[in-house]
Amino acid sequence: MIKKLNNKGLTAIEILICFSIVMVIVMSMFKVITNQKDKQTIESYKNEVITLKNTMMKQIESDIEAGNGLKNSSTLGATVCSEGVEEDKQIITAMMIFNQSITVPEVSYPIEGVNIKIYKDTDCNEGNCLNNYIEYSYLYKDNMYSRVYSLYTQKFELPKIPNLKFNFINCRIQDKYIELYAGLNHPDLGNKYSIIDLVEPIELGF
Amino acid sequence: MKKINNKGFALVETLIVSVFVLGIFTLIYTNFYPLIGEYEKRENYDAIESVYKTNVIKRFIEYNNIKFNITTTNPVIIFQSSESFCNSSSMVGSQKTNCQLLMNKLRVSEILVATYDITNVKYKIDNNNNCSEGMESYVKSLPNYKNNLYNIKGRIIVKYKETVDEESSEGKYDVYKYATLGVDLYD
Repeated sequence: MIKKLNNKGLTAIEILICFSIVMVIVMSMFKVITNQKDKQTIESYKNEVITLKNTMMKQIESDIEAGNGLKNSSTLGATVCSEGVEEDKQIITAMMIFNQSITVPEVSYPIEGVNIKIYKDTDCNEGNCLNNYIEYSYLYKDNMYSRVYSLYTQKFELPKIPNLKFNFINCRIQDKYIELYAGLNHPDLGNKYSIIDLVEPIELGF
Repeated sequence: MKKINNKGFALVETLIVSVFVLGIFTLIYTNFYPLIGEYEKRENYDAIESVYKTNVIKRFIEYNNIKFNITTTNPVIIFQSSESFCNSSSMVGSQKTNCQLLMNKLRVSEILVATYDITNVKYKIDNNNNCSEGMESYVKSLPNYKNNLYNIKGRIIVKYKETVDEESSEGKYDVYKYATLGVDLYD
């Protein structure tokens, strides 16, 4: 005898259960995918912040090392690690005068002085910290050459990272050492990846 | 006429397949999860600021011509603190105070002086109580530095302490960073 085929199809309750299960799975997957997308964006910010920090560190450190020892600039009457307020910006200035008596064969240009100015916005407008930048300049034969590392604009081929700003800048010259300790802060990253931590002896002899 | 099998899967069949699939997922998870931790740990290895700091220590050692008793049989000296490093017999007179000042500025928490090639160093520090766990992991992650093109006699491996302020989540906590450079440490 041939077995009867089941031609009844699905009942409404079965379809409802199936749909609700599928809905729950899709909803949970949606949340996972959205979270992953956020993580990916944060990860790209992280890489850009690290690149920005490394660029600034490398430039400042290599110029200081190229100077092969710094003269105590207070003897020359220069400003050393001063702090001030201009309009709504906090400015930290570090001026280092290199010891000119030492010749440096490794570099193509002899550096006579380096001036680092860090502008810290006290108030950022909708995440755009336009006045948040490091102005970095060096003096060579009475001509001033400068680089500006802005944290917002793309003018200098640096990444555009919204909401990135300096949250602390400490600069001091003490016990024959110059210390620059500045932290860039991003709401999603904190300052874990973006601390500029520079310690250099002012004079060649330790 | 052949009968159609409409019975579906038996419970035991479903269970076996489920256990098998679960086993595979567990295997994948246990293999990949430590890699995430490893990746996060390596973010603190040879960061640019740590390498520059190590270069300042290298310049201090070379400028003051400080030498350590490193031999092939004794390929590493572990200094658990910057104080023990600066008070070692290799430092004389004002070098000790200058060294301590430098170490405090750089926030050095542990320092190893070793041979340039660290093949034997890796064996020496394995489960060595004098060496911190973080330092041991870092040294093991390094290459052996077999090719010594410039004939550098020695290497310093340094651990730095840094306080991180995560405004968004974890608050203030300490992070240890590591870096190494070749330095002339013995004759």
